[in-house]
Amino acid sequence: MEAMTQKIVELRGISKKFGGIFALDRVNFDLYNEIHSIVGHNGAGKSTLVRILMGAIRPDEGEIFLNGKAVTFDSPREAQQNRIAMVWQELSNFPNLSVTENLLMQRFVHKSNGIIDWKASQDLCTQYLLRLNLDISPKSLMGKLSLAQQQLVEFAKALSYDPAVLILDEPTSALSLKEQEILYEKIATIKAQGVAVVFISHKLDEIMHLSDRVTVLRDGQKIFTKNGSELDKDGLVEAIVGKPSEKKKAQRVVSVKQKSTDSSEPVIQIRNLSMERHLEDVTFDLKRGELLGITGVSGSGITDVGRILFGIELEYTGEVLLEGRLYDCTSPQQAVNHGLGYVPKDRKEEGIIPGMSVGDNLILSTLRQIYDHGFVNNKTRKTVIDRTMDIIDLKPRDPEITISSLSGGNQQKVVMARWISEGTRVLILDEPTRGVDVGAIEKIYALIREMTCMGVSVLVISSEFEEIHHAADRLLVFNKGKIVGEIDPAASAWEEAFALAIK
Amino acid sequence: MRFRDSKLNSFLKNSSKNGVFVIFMVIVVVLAILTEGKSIKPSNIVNIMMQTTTIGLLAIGMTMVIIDRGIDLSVGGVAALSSAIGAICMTRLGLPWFLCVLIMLVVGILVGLLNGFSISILKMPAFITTMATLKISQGLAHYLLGGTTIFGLPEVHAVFGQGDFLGIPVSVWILAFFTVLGFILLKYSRFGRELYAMGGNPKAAWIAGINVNKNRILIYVISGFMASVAALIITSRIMCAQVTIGDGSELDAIASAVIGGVSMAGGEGGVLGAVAGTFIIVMINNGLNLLAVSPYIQTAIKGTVIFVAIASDVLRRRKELRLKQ
Repeated sequence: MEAMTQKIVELRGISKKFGGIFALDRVNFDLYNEIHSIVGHNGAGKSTLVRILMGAIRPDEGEIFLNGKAVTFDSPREAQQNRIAMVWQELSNFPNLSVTENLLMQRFVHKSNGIIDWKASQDLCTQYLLRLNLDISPKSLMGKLSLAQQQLVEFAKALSYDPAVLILDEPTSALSLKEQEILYEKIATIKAQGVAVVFISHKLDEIMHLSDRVTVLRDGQKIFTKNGSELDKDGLVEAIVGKPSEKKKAQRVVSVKQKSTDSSEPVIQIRNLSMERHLEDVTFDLKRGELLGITGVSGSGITDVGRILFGIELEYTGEVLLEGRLYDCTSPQQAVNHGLGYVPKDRKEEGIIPGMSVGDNLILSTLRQIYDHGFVNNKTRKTVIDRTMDIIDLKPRDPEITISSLSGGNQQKVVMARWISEGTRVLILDEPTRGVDVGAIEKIYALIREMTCMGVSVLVISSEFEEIHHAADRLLVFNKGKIVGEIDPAASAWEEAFALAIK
Repeated sequence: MRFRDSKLNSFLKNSSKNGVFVIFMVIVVVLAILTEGKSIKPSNIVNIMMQTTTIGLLAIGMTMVIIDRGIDLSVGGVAALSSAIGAICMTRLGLPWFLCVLIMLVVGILVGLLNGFSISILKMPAFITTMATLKISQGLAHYLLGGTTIFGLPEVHAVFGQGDFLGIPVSVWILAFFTVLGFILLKYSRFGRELYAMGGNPKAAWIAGINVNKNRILIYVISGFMASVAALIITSRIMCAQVTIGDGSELDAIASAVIGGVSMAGGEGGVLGAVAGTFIIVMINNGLNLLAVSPYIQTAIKGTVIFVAIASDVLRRRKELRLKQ
């Protein structure tokens, strides 16, 4: 502690409520010239905390001090002007432009006649790249660089603003092990140059490896801030998930009773599925009528499993068997023909047809059954819509209103209900409860359970550990693209799954 | 309460959707007054209806293309090429008339296939692709006609453009037939429903298991086919083939669709509106002719009409977006 004498940032008593729930509850946080990691599971408040520091969110209570002076930031721009920079989780660069253009956007060197001085701009870009010892040509196209190189250019860009504080939000989630190593090295370099680094990550290994200090958040509260040297992994996991509670186990027993047909007959067999950077040697079975959960933190590869099965993602190796036969699917349409259904994570972009009515959205995937000989049988259409709306208990019960006027939860029910049909044998749901209100979560799982009772095998992909643990018959935990454990939810607590996912 | 809300919403939505329609209807009435009723005489109405047929047919195909967020600029060229090939088959080659008609239709289908294949399978941008096929077909038509006009089509060919049935021109019957067919296809067929889904959210439609590529090819084939049906009627009306057939008609077809409520953003509109849109355009044209307005100014006015229609489409959607938020 003595080495880092000057306190650069201090957050004092920060509270923030979203819809009556504390996202942050009187959290204190300070930052010296150090690498300070913030850890916690989904919804613990990590993102909210750094967003407040970046001026993207206003806190309800609390104060921010920068170099001992009280400040308020109304926008990320203001934070930037005060030398706080952030590299966001998602890359947001221009792949079609050069590294120079990406790095110096809006800050090109101009000649006296107003024309961009490319030579000087490129030299300046090279200077910034050299700060990180990067051997990247300023002329190369951003999109041609590897993911790691792009990430490093983003770092260089953030650093070119000469920040005193640099916030990194899960910077390694898309990188390979080797690329991660490069990144760690650079982060250490940045710190040596006098920058204070805030590091957010799910990966405990890298946190232990990298951090001078670690702050653990759980349910909006700070559990502790400790020096890196004082930490051990088990202690950290316990701090993140809390003590496994007995109450949760009791709850489990209730829903286990609803467990559907107990069968061991596999419907889908996945063998040695690998995908560069995403999945490594994944093997598991989905059995008839079961509700199988696969879970992991973001970047663990769980989403890719669903996209491969449904023919959206094609760059993989390994085998998939459907009812014992080799299943080689190259488009969603083929997947549907094979009796698969899929509810994507991104409901707005990939799920709903915004301008269409609820009824039309409901029958989108069953059109071939309703429209015999290619033309509509209005009676069948109405029957199918009515029946489906009864099953999902949609309110308001009006098939003619546009789907955009429904709440997130109801939209999700509609997208799911598309697959309620005799043809569906396997249903894959990616984050089915994302962006839906709390009340709708239970209804969505009730609907899923209903479908398993109809004999549909359901694969639920979810990074909501507690929720999926509660709902699934069987739970596979993914970590860095590999299955790291199978959990019987009836005999365990959700915290075990989470501990596996971040170890 | 909800009832009143939804009523209010649908009123707002409809009035703004039909706003441009109303404006143009007012123009039609004004023209009728200015021409002292000449524009709404029965003989002139028949004249207008006949002029509506060719653009109307193109507008039907164009409607489907635009619902899928595409554009087909090749229709004018397809009409020219189809006319040229048809006329050569009928005169120089002396093939049976019926076969020649079939060949003309096949020409449209083939160009449509080329468009559809390039746009769906090869993922080429519709705008540039169809602009290229426009030039290809125009150039071929020029070459085949050798810069001249081919006369001497068989008498029987006059049936499409000059024949009557129950006192109504055959060409109007043809337009009516395809309008109804297009309406049914869009509203009551699986293809139609999938088309609106593709226009509303292409990615979601694909993930829902819709055969996006097949449908997209079909759309451009239909558009090419409609262009060759239009070619049948034009050649029949003037009983010759010339290279200027179809010149600029793609813009008229697009304008018709947009005036009739087909959104350039995709997923919205239908053929009834598009054909009504054609009717309005022809009415305006015809009125200006009766008023002896300079043809150069007429071109500018037509451009203004298209401009206003597209602007109102964009403004309406912005308003709807705000209503939702």
